[in-house]
Amino acid sequence: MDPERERGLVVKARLDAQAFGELYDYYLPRVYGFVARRVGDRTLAEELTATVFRRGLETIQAGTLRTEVIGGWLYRVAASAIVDQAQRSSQELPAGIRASDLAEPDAERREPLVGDEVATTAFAAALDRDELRRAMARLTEPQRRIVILKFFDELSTAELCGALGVSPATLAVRLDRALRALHLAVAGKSSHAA
Amino acid sequence: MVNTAPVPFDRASDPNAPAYDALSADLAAAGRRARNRKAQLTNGRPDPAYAEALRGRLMQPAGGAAGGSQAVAGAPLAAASYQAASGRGAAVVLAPDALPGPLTRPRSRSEASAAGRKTASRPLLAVLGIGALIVAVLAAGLVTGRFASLPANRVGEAVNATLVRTGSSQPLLAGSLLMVGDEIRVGADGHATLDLGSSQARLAGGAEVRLNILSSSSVQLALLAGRAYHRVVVPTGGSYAIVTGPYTWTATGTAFDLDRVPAPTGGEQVTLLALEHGVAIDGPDVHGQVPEGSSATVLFGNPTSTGPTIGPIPPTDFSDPWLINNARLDESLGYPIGALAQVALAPNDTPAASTSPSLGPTESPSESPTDSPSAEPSPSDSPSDGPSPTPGLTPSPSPSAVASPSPTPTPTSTAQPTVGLSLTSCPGGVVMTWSKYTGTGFARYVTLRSANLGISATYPQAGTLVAATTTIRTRLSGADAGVSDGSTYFYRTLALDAANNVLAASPTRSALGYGQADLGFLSITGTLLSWLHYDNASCLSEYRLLYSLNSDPTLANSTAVIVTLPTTNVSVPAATGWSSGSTIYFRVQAVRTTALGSFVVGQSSNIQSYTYP
Repeated sequence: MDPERERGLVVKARLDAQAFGELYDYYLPRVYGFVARRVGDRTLAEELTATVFRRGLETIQAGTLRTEVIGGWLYRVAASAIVDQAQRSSQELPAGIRASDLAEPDAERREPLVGDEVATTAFAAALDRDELRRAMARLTEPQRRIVILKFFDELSTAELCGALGVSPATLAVRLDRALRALHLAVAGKSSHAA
Repeated sequence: MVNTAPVPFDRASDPNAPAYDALSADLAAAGRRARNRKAQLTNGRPDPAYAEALRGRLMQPAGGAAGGSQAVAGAPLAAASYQAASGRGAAVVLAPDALPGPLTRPRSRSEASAAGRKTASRPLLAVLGIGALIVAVLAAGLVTGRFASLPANRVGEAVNATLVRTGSSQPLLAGSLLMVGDEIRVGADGHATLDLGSSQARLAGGAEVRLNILSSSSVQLALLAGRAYHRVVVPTGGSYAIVTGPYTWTATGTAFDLDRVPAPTGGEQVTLLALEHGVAIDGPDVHGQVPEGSSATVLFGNPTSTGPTIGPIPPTDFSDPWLINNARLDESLGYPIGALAQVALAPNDTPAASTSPSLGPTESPSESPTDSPSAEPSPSDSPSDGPSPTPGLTPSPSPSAVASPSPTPTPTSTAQPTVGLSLTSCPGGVVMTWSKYTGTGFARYVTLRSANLGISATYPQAGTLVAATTTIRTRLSGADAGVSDGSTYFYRTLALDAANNVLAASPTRSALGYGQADLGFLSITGTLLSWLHYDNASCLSEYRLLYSLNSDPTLANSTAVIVTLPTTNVSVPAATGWSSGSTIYFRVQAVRTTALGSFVVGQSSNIQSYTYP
């Protein structure tokens, strides 16, 4: 969405349901897709998406949104909702686990694929070159995330900036580094193989 | 390398540029393929009916009631009616009809559904059949269990209570939206319930609280005076914390009671009752966990203060009507009630209140947090022998001996030198506090940060960044200001030797990032600049007054005056170098300092100007 238009809509949406409606119509499929690519289950994706928009509406109405570009913010809320949900559900399984136990050292081993990892798996499966797939696995976590958000989730530059909380310049640097790293990993791999 | 323009792909000078473009094209094609896979096509797009229903739910309030701000996001968004939008199938659609009238009092999602379950009245049962109801109940339960952070922060009920917002007072009204910075004062004969996300703070007469942090997953209140019972439901990674003077009490899924009173010997005394699950305590002289069934008392503002006293909850407390009523309310809402279960609610062992165990909204003389619609259906329809639908966790066999299960490494314990870690989420940053490593071979501490839980005990480590590091063994805290509002971060502290071997590793902890706080208005009277105290003790070390000729004073372009606590005013500095008629601009910041750096927690909402006469 054009950032200018979006800014205007966010301001108007504090009082004007129609303005929020326009934001909703534009972002619902995008945010829903983002969530669905990470949680798999439709009902759950619907719940989480509803949460995101509900929070979006509340935040807009309360006037506490710190940015007028809401797109990236929505993805961020969605991402943390997914993580929250994943942790919550993983925690519900073993009876007797208390909230205070969660941060124990071996908690990390209980964690199955969460959010971004699901998306990464789906995306990697669609890569047509094995060496590219392997190269993806060798990226750092932030590098992988940026690649997924851009190429799989198709976030616009403004959305990426909002979602990652960085300036366009920083985003450009990071994206560039991710591509370099990927290129390097592919090149390294194929020269070994040859 | 990349320092010129904010263009996504700035690599004109790179010979590999064509390769990167090809790579981008490959990735974009893969993205398309992945999105177009059959499973993604069906699952990756919202069901139009769902989209329409959700749209309706969200739009309805603003369109329908153009009145006060509280109507805007009010009843139509209430949990139960909302469920109808996201749920599917006839059975689920029944649920809202079964509710008593419109949900005019917005309440927490779990509470609403608990009420919904209870009020699915018998006539309805007869008409629709037990089967359908069971499905509805299960569906509602699933929905609520899965994600409990939906509701807004609102006043559940209020009697004789005052809301102080941006300096002005008004009566506290049920249903009104709560905001960060709000202060609530309950009259001696009043009471109030605050729905904070899915949690509830029930304030007794005389209580005063301020809302420091409100987000979908985390809540922080300052208990300024009096007593409050807390029923906490937060998503994992979130937290619920109460600040009382220098002490912070944090829970992540529990019930507890805090009472702040003037101490007989001077200063103030705070008593915690950890009723269900433990509560973490953090303060100048203590950092640990108060286990379920225990009581902790701290004293501060008094020279004789000597750390907390922790012991079992005194039996007399179990006959306290305030606790009994809160426990009953909790039980009626389907929560396990931990330590209170044995004494307060046992059908044949009700020490003080001899009434039936069902919830009686009127039985407490001093406090009835339940006089709202939600409570009413319960007595008629919840014989307490009906198994209360306990979600998720088992109803609390208290983990027998838990002196301090969390980091709190007592340096005296000799076995294996360890390093602990605790985090404080502040607006604008996260404070990391680790414990001293006492073993040999120490070279430095490194605290790693990741967006994911899986931080291993190795260094260096891909996918993590170093949030703090020091070679000085006695520096035990650091600041991470690089956090985004609403993001969850994981941290782990390692003690390393000179060859980067890990000597000890803390547990992995998580914290939520918050944007900076708004300190409110910086005012000037004559030559005196003053601002409101930022009452979030664990996040505030000092104030910083910035001033410059620049109309947007920042640390970089200004002179900074450090103002130590608790001072909240300072005179306009002398006009050295500035002539009469110069206009100086002021901004105040709240700063949290640590052993390794500081960050800005919040700043004034305005920039105040002053012209030298």
